[in-house]
Amino acid sequence: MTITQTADTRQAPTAGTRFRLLLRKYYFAFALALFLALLITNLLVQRDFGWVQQVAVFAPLALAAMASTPAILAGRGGIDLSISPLMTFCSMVFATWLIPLGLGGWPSVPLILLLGAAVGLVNGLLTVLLRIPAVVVTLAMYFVLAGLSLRISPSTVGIGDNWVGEIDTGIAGFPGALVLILVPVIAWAVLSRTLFGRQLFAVGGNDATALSSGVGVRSVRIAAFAFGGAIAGLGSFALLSVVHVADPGQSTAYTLLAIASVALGGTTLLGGRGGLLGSLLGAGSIFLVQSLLTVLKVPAQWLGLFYGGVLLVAVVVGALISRSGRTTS
Amino acid sequence: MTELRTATPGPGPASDPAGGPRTGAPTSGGRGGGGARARSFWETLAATQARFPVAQVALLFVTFAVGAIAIEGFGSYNSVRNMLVLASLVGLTAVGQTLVVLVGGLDLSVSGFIVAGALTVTQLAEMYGWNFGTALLVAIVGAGLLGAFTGWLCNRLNIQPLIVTLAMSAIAVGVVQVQTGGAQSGSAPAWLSQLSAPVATTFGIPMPPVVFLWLAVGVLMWLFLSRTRTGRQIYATGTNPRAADLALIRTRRIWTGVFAFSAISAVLAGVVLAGFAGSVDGSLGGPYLFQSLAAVIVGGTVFGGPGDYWRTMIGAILLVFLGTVILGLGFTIPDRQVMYGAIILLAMAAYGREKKLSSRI
Repeated sequence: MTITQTADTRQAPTAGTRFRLLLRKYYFAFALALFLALLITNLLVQRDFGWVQQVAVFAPLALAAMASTPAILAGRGGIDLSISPLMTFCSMVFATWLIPLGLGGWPSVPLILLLGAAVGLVNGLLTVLLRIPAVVVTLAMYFVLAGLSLRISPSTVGIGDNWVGEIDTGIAGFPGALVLILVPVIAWAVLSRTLFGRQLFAVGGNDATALSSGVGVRSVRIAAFAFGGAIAGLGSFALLSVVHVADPGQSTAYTLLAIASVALGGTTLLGGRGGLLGSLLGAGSIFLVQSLLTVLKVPAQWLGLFYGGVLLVAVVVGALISRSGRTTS
Repeated sequence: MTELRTATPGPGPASDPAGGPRTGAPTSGGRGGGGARARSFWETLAATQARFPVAQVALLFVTFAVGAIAIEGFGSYNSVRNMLVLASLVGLTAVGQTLVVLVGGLDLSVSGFIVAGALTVTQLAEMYGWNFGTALLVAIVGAGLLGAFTGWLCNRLNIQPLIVTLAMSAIAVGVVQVQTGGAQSGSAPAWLSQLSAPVATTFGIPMPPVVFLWLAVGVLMWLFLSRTRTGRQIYATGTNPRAADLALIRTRRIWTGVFAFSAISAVLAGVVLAGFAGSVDGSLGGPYLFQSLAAVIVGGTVFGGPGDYWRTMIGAILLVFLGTVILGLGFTIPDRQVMYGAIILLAMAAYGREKKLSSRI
C-alpha cells in the first residue's frame, strides 16, 4: 500500500528489497520454513519418530538458544557466551547441594531460576556499569563458571530418584520437556508486549536514540542479561532430565550451537530485531539436521565441520538480510 | 608510537569531564593532559602507565617475591626456566591474538587452529607420508586461506569476528578430523620436542630454544608494529576504521591480512605445542585460547588499540607466574581457571572500558 504512495517520489523497491523487507518483518520465516521442511523429511525417513523422547533431547539446545537471545537483542554486541557453562553450573549446584539439602523437589525450581538470573545479573552489571565489552565479560564468566563446576565436583554427580529424571519420559504421555520449552516462550510472549519489551528493542536498535527518548538503557540491558540467565537456569533441568547426571565436563557443549540457533532464527546479531520464537525454530532446525545425520549414519567426525558450517551460513544469511537500510554506528 | 596514540581520540577525560582520573587509562595522559594546571600524582601515574605497563611489571615482581618466599624452590633456576618455557608457549599462541585485538576484533579460533596445525604435522603427515616441511606448508596455506576468509567476511558484512572465528575453529578442526576418520592422535618427532623440552640447551646455553624463539618473535613483532607501514596501518584501522578508510588505508585488506596472520601463527604455535606435549589430541588447544587472550588483555592491549606485542609478552610471563604461585599454594587447576577469568575482568575494568553512552549522543 505504501508503495503506491511513495512511488512518485522515491524509486520503487525492487523485488529483492521487498523480499528482504518481508523477511525483516517476519524475521523467523526462514527458520520456520527450514524447520517444517526438515520435520517432514525426518518423519519420512524415521517412521518411529518418538515425540516424547525427541523433545526431551531437544530441550537443552532449545533453552540454551532462547537464553542467548535477550542479551543479543539488547544490542551493542551484547552476546552471552556464558549460557552453556551456566546451565552446567546450575545443574551441578542442583545435584551436589540442593538434593542433599532436601531441596531437590519443586522448591529447587525458583532457587535455580534465581541462581541463573543472579549470574546473568552479574554479567549485565559488569557490562553496563563497568562498560566492559559484553563479549569479554561473558567469556570471563564462561571460564569462571566452567572452573567452578569442576571445583564443585571433578566428575559427574548422579541425581538419583528425582522428579527431574521423569521429565524426559513424560507425565501421562505429555512430554515434560515441552513444558520447559513453553515456559520461556510464554514468558517472552507476555514480556515482548510490555513496556520492557518495547524498550528492549529500542535499546537494541539504537541505544543512543533510546537514551535520548528517556529509556533507562542501563536497566533494560541488565534485565536482558538476567532474563537470559533465568532461562539458562531452566535449561539446567532440561540438561539433567536427558542424562540424569550433572556433568562438569559438558560446560561448553551448547555454546556454538546456541549462537548458531539464534542467528539461524533470524535475530540479527547487531541487536534490535528478532525474538525467542526464531531462536526456538533455529534450534529446532539444527536439532532435526542432527537427527537426520544420525539416521543417515553420517560419521561423527563430520559433525564438527557441519556445526561450524551451519553457524557460518546462519550468520552470513542473517547479515545479508539485515544489511540494507541499516547504518553502522 | 607516541604520535599516533596521542593523536587518537580515546575514552579519555576529554569526553568525561566529571569523571576523575582513571588510573591506568591508556589515553588519559599524553601531551594534552598537562598544560596550564599542574598534574596531580594520579595523572602522572596514569600518563606513565600509558607509556609503560608499570602496574604489570610491579605485579610481576610482587608475584615473584611472594612465590619465592611462600613456595619451596620457586626462585631456583630450574623453576624459572620452566616458567619461561610455559610463558613462551602462551606468548607464541598470543601473537596473532594481539594483532586481532589491535584492529578491534577477537579471535576464538586460536584453539581450533592449534589443534589443526598440530594434527597436520603429526597425524596427517604420517597418514599421507609427507615430510615435515610439506605438512607445515599445507597447514600454513590452509590456515592462511581460512583466516583470510574470516577477516574478509567480518569486514565485508560487518559481522562480529567472535562468531565467525567460533565457526572457523570448528571448521579447521573438522577439516583435519574428516581425514583422520575421527581419531585424534599424533606423536611429535623427537627433534620438535627438543625445541621446548625444559632440559634442552641452545648452543650450549642451558635454556630451551623456544624461549629464544619467542624473544626473536617479540623483536620482529616490535619492528613490524612500530617500524613498518603495515604495522602503523593496523593501529590506524583499530583506532578508527572510518578515519583509516579516509586516509586511504585499505582496511578490508588489513582485516583479511590480520586474521590470516592470526590463523597461521596459531598453526605454528600448535606445531611447537605438539612438540611440547609429545602427543596430540583435540584438547591441546583449549587452555591456550583463554590464556592467549588473557595475556593480551592483562598486558594492556585493548580492543582497537593502543597496545603492543611486548606488552603481551609481559602479560604472558605475569600469567604464568601467577598461575604457578596459585597452584603452588595448594589451589587446583579449576581454581586457576576461575582466577584467570577474574583477572581479565579486573584488567578490563582498569583500562579497557568503553565510552559512556551519554558521551556518544
